[in-house]
Amino acid sequence: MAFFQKTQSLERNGGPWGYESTWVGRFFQPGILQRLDFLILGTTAVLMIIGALFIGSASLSDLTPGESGLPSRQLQWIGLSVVVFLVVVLVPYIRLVRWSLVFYLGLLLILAYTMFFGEMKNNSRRWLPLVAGFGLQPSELAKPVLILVLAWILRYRHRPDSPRGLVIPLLMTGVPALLVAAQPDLATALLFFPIPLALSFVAGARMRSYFFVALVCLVALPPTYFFGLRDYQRDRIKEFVVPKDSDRMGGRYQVEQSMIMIGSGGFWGKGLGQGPQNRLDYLPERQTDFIFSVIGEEWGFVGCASVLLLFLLLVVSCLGVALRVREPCGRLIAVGVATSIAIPVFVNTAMTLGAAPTTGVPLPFLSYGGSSLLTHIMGIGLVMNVNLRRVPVLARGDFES
Amino acid sequence: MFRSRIAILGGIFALLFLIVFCRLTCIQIVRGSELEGKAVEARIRKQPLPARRGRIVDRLGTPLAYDVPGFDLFCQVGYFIRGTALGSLAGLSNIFDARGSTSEDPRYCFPRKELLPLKITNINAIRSTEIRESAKDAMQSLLSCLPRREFALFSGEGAAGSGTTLGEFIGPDLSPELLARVEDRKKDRNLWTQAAILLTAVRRTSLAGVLSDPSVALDTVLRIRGEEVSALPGSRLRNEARSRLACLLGVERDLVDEIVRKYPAESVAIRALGTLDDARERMMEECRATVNQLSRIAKVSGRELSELVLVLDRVWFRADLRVRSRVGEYLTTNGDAATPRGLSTEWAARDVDYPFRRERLFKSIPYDAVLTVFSEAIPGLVVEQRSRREIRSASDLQLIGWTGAPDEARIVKNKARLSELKTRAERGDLPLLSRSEMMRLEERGLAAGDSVGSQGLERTFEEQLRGRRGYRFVLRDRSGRCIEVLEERPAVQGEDLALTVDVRLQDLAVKALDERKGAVVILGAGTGEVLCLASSPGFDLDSFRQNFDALQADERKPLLHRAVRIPGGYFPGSTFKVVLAVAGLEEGIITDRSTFQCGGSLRPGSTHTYKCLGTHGTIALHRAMARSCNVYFYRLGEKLGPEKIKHWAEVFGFGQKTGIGVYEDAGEILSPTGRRWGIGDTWHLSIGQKNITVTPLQVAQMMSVIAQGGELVQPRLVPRSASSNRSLPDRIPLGISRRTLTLVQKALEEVVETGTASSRGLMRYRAAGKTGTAEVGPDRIDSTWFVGYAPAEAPKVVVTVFLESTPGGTGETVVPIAREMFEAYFSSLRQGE
Repeated sequence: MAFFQKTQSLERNGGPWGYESTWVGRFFQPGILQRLDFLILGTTAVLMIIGALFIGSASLSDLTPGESGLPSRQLQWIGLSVVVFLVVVLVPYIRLVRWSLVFYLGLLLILAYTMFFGEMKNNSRRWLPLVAGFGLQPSELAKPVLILVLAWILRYRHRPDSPRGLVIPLLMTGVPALLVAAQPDLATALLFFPIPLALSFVAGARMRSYFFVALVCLVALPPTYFFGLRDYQRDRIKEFVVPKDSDRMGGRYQVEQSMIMIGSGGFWGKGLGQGPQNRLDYLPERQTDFIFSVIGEEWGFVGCASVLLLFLLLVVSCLGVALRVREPCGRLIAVGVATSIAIPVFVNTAMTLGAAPTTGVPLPFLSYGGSSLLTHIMGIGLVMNVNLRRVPVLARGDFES
Repeated sequence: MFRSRIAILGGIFALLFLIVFCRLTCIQIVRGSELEGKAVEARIRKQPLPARRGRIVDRLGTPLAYDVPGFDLFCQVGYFIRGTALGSLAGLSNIFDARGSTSEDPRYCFPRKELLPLKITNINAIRSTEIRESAKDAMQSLLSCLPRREFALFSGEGAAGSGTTLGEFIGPDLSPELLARVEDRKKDRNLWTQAAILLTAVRRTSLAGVLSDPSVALDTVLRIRGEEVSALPGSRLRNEARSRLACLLGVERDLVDEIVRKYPAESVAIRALGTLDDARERMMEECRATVNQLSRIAKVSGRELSELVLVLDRVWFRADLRVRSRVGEYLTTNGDAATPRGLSTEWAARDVDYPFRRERLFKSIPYDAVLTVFSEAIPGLVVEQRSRREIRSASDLQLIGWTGAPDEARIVKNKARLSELKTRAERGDLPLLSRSEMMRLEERGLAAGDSVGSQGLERTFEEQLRGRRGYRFVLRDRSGRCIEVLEERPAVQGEDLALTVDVRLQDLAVKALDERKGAVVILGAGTGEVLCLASSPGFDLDSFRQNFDALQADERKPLLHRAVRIPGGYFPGSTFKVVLAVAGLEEGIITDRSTFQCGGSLRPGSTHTYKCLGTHGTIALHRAMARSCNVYFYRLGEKLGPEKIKHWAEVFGFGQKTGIGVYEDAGEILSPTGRRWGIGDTWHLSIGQKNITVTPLQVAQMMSVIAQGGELVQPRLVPRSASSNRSLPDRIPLGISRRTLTLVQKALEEVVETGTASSRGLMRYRAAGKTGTAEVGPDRIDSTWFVGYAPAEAPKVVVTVFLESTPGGTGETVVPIAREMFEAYFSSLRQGE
């Protein structure tokens, strides 16, 4: 409990922030608006608006005219996410980090609960139904919690450059990942791992440890493939590696249709809401995982490239925050958020372009779905939080002991 | 270190984005046009529009065979695969339930009553373009049956605004009770849902077994154990099996999953439904109800239960293809030893087809069923207008022939040739000549679903009757349903074929023949137009449609047209004496004054006697013809010799096809070459007994030579202009002298006045003619003939009546029929046609 005492004593003695004596002062510090990173905020907002537009466009169907309700629901989610964003920004991130272990344990509990009592959809239990038909995927919410808890561990509990190196962060990630994989939702579980790898890397883990992890993975891969995976998962990997023409209605069908949609968009695209393949319902699930295909058809190369650039800008600005901030925890959080955006963007867009296997990974900020939106908004909130509260830290180097 | 590592991390992320960016460029910029092409190919499809065949009408314009708009019900397999099949089947039940209400009318030819409640606004509101267009087609074709009504008037603005129903538009004399009935029937929608479930169960066993004894199927289902389900190859198949089981047992899919997981060795059904008895009882109950309901649908749809189930089974089979292809793959790699129960290689090996296709459920569904499909826009079900050939009466069938599905091999050949031409056209090296061939193949080439003349005139004039196919470019969705018609070129109906036949004579002839084996041929003298070509016995339409095999096997050979076909060979009998007389006169062997001595018979050896009808003493041509003296013609034939006889028979058109345009026999004239030939054979030939076979049409043709002045006129069924490109000249002068003709004509008049045909009042029409009786055995009369023309001085019509194996003299049998024909002909002339 040394950590708790340490931070608490800091606070009692006036805290890292001297103006915390009043309750209001705790949340609203002078100069807060000047420190808001409008680049990150603006990029996020633009992405969310594009997302809402294309969810609307993807709901236009010549087959079933009428309201599908998805766009308005997405707007509700966006409204909710603004609230969540404010909450995450206002609570000092150091507190969140301090409580991260509690969050982590809570997360494990929720994941376990979901495994047994979650809502069954498409053969797996991923959903926790909330009020009024809104549901959450706890597996998505795991990402910010993981970022926080890993930042805490790497900052206060564990030396990543020790011989055991990556073991502790990977184990911490492995427990929720296992729970998620058992839902079963392998893709989401696998996407947890870039976070500890990136955080440890930035925190100074030895390259030797990475080689060791890579070696272990290589050795473990074949047995996992043959004994650890379910049939449909194996099928999908097989379909990706050896595509079969005969199986035109399966997962391959989606990727094929997605590629046709993106390709037929050409340079300028067909115009918002004008894509014939989109309107004729050729690609199922296009509001969620395949929203990028709709953008490809309707806004063409220009639109897709812009969206990719926006994402790149977002990721780079998050990393920029990490560079500017001196406090190690804040740095790690910013790096973690950058990773948690960059990797799903890559996996999702590569999938729609036929360069990666079909997985149920949504495109951050764009795909329809509340959980993913909330998760990534929380991440952005954390980065803003870090950027707002540049705690002065006395240290010799960046991460040196 | 920290900063550099962040930079490295940023570099890694940038690299990932670069990869995606490159891939994006590749797909959108480099492969853009290719993928755009694929997209267009996927969503725009060219659909052929079948053309109606032309009508066949008689000389007065009465339609003998014609296409009526029929509606076939198709289902789209894509929908069934996507799992909305149950809803569609529920829709089907409505269709056939509604059908039950008007089942009294067996023909539905012009049932305008059923479409009356429709408003134009109803039709405009139909969402699917395809169904909407078909609905309009239907209304239009119905309205066109009504005098002085135009579809445009009805669909115009006034009617659309006011919501006039078709019934109100047409008039007040018809009742709208049908819609109420349709409403009632909508209540038991879940009927087909159950039927579908039963069929799912049936998948594992034989269909027939289930229908006779549902418990057989049940036992199979009841025995399915959890481990069997998990042992199925491939996750998709397993999932499919679990869903099927859940559906079948009426329990949640999750429950089945759980049972399969937790109790692998036990029966899923029993676990899900309780004890064995409970499970069996519950499923039996369901099955019984379903079979009952299926039978009910079968009854109202007028189809055999087994047929109905088979049709549905085929649809479900399509829906199963995906699963089946998987199983097939598995079986070929693992061999039969690992076959899960109920799945065989044969079952799996059937062709795998993409779901963008239609399967015909029923041909010619009734109009109220069409109405149901239209008004409810049931997904997955499509009604298409496919015309159906109707025939005026069965008696025309032998002549007109019928249509049928084209030969599979020809379809395949056409298709192959067309696709070859198309690929060449795409490459751009198609010569102009082949381009027109491609057009022709596209518009007129045979395709599956076409009907093509397979017999009779339908076959001969196929080219003329068949229309030109149209096409339609449609926008379609993922499962192949048409969303919008982009471009359309309507089909062109085939040309009508006007025959020279007069149906009144035809009908009368059939009536007069009265089911006896025989034929009547009436030719217009001088023109060669066939006014009547009737054959007997006939058959009725029902037995033609349902019992074709029995008709073919019938020993009376009703399918054979006896005017042009000779099942065993007909001998012309004494009618052949006309040829002998002309030959004798023309060859200079006899004159009208030369006589022969008739002693009642000839006896060349001790074995056989060649009889005459009487003992005529010294007899000359005139009286020999009137009395039909055999001995006279024996002697004449003897002097002519068989070669000359054969020559003259051929001059008169015997032994060759007439070229009338339907399938006909040529007949045969024997001659001594290469054969044992006695004087008796020559004698037989001389009076048309043995050694020569003819068709009634040929005999009529022969008589028309005499009637109209020595020219052989080819008989024709279509007017001259319509049948142009014949290689044969249709009029051949035979070079018979005027004097000979007059002599023979006088002799023939004598036949009617005082001779063998004098008893029946043919004199009234100033007819001339010749009777004939061909005897084969001592007591068996093989065929009786009358061939004649009238009026004698200016012949207008040649009538040939022929009866096969009919006892009685010519006066009792053929001559009265001929008299009736003359009567009918001249009375219709008086009415001025």
